[in-house]
Amino acid sequence: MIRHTTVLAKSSDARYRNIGGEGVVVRQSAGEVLVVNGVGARVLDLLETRTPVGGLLDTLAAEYAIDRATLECDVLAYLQELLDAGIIEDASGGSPD
Amino acid sequence: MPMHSDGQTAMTGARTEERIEPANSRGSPRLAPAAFGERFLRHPDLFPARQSGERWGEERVVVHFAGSDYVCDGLSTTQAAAIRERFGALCTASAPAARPSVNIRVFRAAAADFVDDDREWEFDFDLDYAPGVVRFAGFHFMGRLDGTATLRAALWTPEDSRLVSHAIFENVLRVVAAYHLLGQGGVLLHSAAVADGPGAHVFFGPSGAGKSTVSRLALAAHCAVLSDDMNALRLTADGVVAEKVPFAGDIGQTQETADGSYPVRGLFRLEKGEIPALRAMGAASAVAALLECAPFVNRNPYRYDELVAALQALGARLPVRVLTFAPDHRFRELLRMGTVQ
Repeated sequence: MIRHTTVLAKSSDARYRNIGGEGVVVRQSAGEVLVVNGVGARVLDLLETRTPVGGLLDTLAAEYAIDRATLECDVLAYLQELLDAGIIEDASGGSPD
Repeated sequence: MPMHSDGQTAMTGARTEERIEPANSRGSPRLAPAAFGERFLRHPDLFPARQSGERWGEERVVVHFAGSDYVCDGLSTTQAAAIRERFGALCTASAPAARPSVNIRVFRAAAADFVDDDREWEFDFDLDYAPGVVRFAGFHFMGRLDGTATLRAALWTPEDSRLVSHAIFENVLRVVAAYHLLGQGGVLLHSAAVADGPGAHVFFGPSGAGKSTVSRLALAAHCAVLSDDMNALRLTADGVVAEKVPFAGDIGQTQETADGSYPVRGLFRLEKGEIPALRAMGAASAVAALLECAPFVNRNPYRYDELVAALQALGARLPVRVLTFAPDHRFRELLRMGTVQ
């Protein structure tokens, strides 16, 4: 489970580029290429700052006009998906439980 | 402010996923080798650490294509003759200093160094990456590329008379050409290139997307085809050009295909469907689609930024679109659509 204190970062196997506001993510060992939309790319950009998930949600809440509960639900689901796919990993020193 | 342009809030719904094409479209799909070289080498840990060894002979053959010379040294008389026969008019006596070139040195290796099995030959091999180094191992060969902007290649093989017939030389040349093109800001693309007057349309996509089908339709419509499998795309002062590379697909093995350099009119990601249609691709989707069709380089983490930059440059110069097509007589209509839209 991802907590607000969890710090997430791109895994060493993943390469990411923001192109025209969207994101291209490559997991090279698995041979997978993902395209994420503008919001997904923004989340990946924010992960570069090693900000804990809570801070990341605060930043997104300030940038997008959406209620906080929906934002948290969507962002956490997205992060979990990236985590499950091996694109990002827990960088906070412990397991993401 | 909505989180997505169409008002959707779920980010995962807008995610698309592609799979990088196996390095060789005619090889066996293999996405996660257990360890580099172990399928082909008895002692992968003894892979040459530098480009040295005993030459097969003193022969040199220069193979010229896509604006560059591939200078092969250290060949035996038998190997040189086989390369000249295979690559025909592409072989030249010398490499003018003004032209970009890559040196490929061929060294002897002991047959006992390689796994002995029932395989004859195949377009499938292992690749391994380190900063400034690419190693590759396949049926009866080991190879390595050193450098980035200026490449040097070496090939070790126990094969003399079978160097060409067993695709060893071609396997190495494919990898070398892919990295040389990338170093020049170009790309070796799994694609079918169809000449249309002075220009060319380039159709790309993974295996099964329809490259060979499009090529056959083009030939039936009396259009020339450069290759139905791989083409070189290079940025020149005049724009993006498509050039034939000597790596034949299904069609190129049986009939003559077009030579020369063609200004590219458009890049089309193939998609099969009943009704012909074109739709635009966003910049990120275009790069992702091209990336999955850039063999040998698209899994190299040390060249990712360079590859993406090259693909972005192509996308900035040319429209990249998804082409839905049906295998029927409407092919000419598709070419017209691709030209005017």
